Amino acid sequence: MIAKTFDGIKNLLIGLGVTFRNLVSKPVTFSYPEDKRIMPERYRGRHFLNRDENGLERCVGCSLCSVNCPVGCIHVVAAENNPDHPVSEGERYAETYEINLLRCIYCGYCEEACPVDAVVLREHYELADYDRDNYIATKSDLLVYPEPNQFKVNILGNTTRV
Amino acid sequence: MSDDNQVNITINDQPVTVPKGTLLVDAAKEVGVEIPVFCYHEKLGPFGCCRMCLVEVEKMPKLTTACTQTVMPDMVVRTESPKVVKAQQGVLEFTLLNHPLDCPVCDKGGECPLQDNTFKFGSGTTRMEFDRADNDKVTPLSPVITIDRERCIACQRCTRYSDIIEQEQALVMLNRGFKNEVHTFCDEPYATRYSGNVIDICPVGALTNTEFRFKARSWNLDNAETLCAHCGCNCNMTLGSRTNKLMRIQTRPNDLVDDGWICDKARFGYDFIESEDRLLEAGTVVGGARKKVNALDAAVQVADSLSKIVDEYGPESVGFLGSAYGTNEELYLYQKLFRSVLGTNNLDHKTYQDTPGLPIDHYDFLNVETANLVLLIGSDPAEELPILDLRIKKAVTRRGVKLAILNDQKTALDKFAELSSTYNVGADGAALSALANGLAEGGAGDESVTGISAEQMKSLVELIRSGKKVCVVYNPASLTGNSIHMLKHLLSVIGKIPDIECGAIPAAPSTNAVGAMDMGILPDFSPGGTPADKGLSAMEMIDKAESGELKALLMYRSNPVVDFPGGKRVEAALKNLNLLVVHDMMETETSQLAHIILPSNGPGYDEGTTTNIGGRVQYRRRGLNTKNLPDWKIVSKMINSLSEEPVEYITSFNVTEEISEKVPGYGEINKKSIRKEGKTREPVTSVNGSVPQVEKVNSADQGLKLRVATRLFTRDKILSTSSPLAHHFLPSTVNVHADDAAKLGFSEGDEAVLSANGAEVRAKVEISNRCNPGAVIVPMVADDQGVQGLAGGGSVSWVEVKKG
Repeated sequence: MIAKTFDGIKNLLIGLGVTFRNLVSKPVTFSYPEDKRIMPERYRGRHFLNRDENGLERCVGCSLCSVNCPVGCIHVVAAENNPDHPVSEGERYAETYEINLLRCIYCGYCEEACPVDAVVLREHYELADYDRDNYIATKSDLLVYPEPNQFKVNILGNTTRV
Repeated sequence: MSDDNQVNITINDQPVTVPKGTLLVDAAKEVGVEIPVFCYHEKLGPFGCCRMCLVEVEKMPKLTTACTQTVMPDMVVRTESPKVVKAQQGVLEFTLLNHPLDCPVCDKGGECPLQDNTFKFGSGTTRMEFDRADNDKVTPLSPVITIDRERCIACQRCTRYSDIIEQEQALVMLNRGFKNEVHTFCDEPYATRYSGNVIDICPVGALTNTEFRFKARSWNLDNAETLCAHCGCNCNMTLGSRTNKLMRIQTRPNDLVDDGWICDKARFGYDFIESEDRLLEAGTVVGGARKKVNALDAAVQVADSLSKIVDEYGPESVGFLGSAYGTNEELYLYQKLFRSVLGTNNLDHKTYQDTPGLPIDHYDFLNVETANLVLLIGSDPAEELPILDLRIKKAVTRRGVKLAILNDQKTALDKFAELSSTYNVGADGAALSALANGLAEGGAGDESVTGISAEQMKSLVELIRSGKKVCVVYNPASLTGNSIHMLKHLLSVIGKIPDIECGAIPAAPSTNAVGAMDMGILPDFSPGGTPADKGLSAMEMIDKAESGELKALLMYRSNPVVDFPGGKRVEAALKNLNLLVVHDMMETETSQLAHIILPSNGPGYDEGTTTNIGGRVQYRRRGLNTKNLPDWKIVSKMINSLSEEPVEYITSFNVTEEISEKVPGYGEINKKSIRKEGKTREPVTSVNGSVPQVEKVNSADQGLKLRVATRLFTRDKILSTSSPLAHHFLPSTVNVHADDAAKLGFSEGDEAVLSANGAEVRAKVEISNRCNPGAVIVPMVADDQGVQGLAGGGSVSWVEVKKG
């Protein structure tokens, strides 16, 4: 009888041991949205368009991203650069550059195809919105690079917004 | 070997039999072996300067260029041996030596033979790690062509094109070595009629379309395989659009029609598609103001008003003025509306006389090359039918065909002609009759009337007699009065000469001139050349409108106020009508007078078949989308609202089916048979008329005879001043013969005033012996020049030329 009781307590303690151990260990969850997770460096989140060191747009409007896109969510209309006020380095620049973020599957083929490293997929993953129209990312939405990383890791290993 | 003309060779262990004289490059294509080329183009012939096509031939010590090597019996060729691969990689390394790697920016990217060949045959790496030559980037060669000399690989396709195909030698290679570059002499702009083709044949992105530069990538385009709607050649072209906007036009080679080339008007002359002057909405004019209405409602209103006028004044009081710019379907339906439903024969589409059918064979473009003699009568292909011009140049320079010209003006083709005779303006009937008599029984006609010396006439007769195969190319629009019947008589005389194979091409300049006649848009013939009771011709309709006997006219894509002889008189006559309906795609001087306006879609937006001057029926596909109803729907609505047995057509092909059922000669024309290359319609039977009397030209002292010459680039509704082809526009000029100039006291460059019929045209005097003395030639350079206002109703117009 006693042996049976001790056996019960022992098993109870073994079971609770998991509970107590987790009580003091680092939590696997974090309190989003107050805390943000830092994404791996090669995470494929929202798209951005790069600028070069002179501040000119890198994109030359070659449409290779759009032809490589498996879902056809990129629309590029190119135009000829004015040599006096160039928008990009080459003779051509993207007059219109639109990405449909709802249709995009974030495969990163556009980044891969880009011959001038203009379009990149970065760690930004918060894409929720109330309006479908906002999901058409235009040049003004995409050309915000370079911008510093907005997130920082806290003591617990979670990310927080700076 | 069974056939002496066939040669057996082996390419990459595959046996192949090809005709003697075939080049290795073409023989390899037969067995699906690709030999890369840059400088070789099948229309330009062998050249061998780019060295890309090196292949190994057994028993030859060195590699040979496949584009210059013809096949020899039992040749053993290898195109993939290590030796060849090494050579190909080496050649590409040199080709890319100074070629910038700006493919993402370059317009040729995606359809570039250099890109493709480098990808397939290149080494993948380069050893040339030094700065590339710094050649000129964007340089305009002409307002429509931009050259990027950095990208040029000096394959000389463009310069050979200019030399061999155009026969102009406008583009040349200047300088030597690294400074070798494509240029024109003295930095002149490269502004020929066919310059745009160099853009298509350039194997790199060096020659680019200025209009299309950086607008879209080649893979973005929706390409519609359509036809050009500018002249009677009906060249095949590809209309590339993106988001329903016209981007560019390219050739779509069809050897039976265009031989792979299109003229600049086809390539750059489609700006009118997006013009602001387009008629997009139907409208009725109430109290001087135009009111927008639904197109179908307007169609019903037109039908009702026409039938009311027919009930009140009889069927002779309504008329239809079509034009050769519509498709067969639209013209056929209009013909049905007026002939069958309204019961009138007052239909016409032209101001000159012509009848369908030829007493001899109806020749196609290919016959120009296979003939021994091409006889041009009254035709100026360079200005009227540019691709026929290229075909004749090809026949003369490369096929050994002789060219004889009988015209009232000197043309650009004269320098290629074996014999060129100029008859007096207005004496075409006499000249043709003299030639027919000369061929039949000898004699040379009266030189004082025809303007052609007995000697010249004799050698022309000899030339025709000695030709084994004669191809007559005539322009009915340039003949005056009833000379067309004399010409048909001449054709039948040629046809009767023993041992001569002969045929003719009725080379009227407008798009669907042959189709319009076949569809019965004629006062005296119903579809397929079946004679009908004679109705009013176009000019008679204008006369009757003036006198008030004609109450209603429907104009389909026709602008008589500008295009018909008479000018102001025509305008006054049209104002006299009870009802004027204009169905057109552009706002014109005539549409301003209309009571009801119907919009027409026009080239680019419309679809249907057209018949070219060679009798080939092809399908003009829609290139751009529009919300507007197609023309055939509007016309069939008119028919159905009046007819007791309405026929609903679902697509334009339903109309084509009806045409093939009802129109003699079109029996085999259907959706399937005209796919790809089109199909030649059966020639319509010719009605043998009696030999006409030559009209006497009244040579009373009335001034000088007027000849209005057609120009390819005219400032009209199609090519506006904002057109990229505006640099081809000429000021108003008058060509005066030196004798007349001396009499009138003109010197080169003087300002002259031409007056007749109360109309005046100012023009700059050009002293040239373009026509015989006693006449002036005025090229029609613009709609607002008003030169047709000078022309009277008769067969020959007289003008008074004074100093301005």
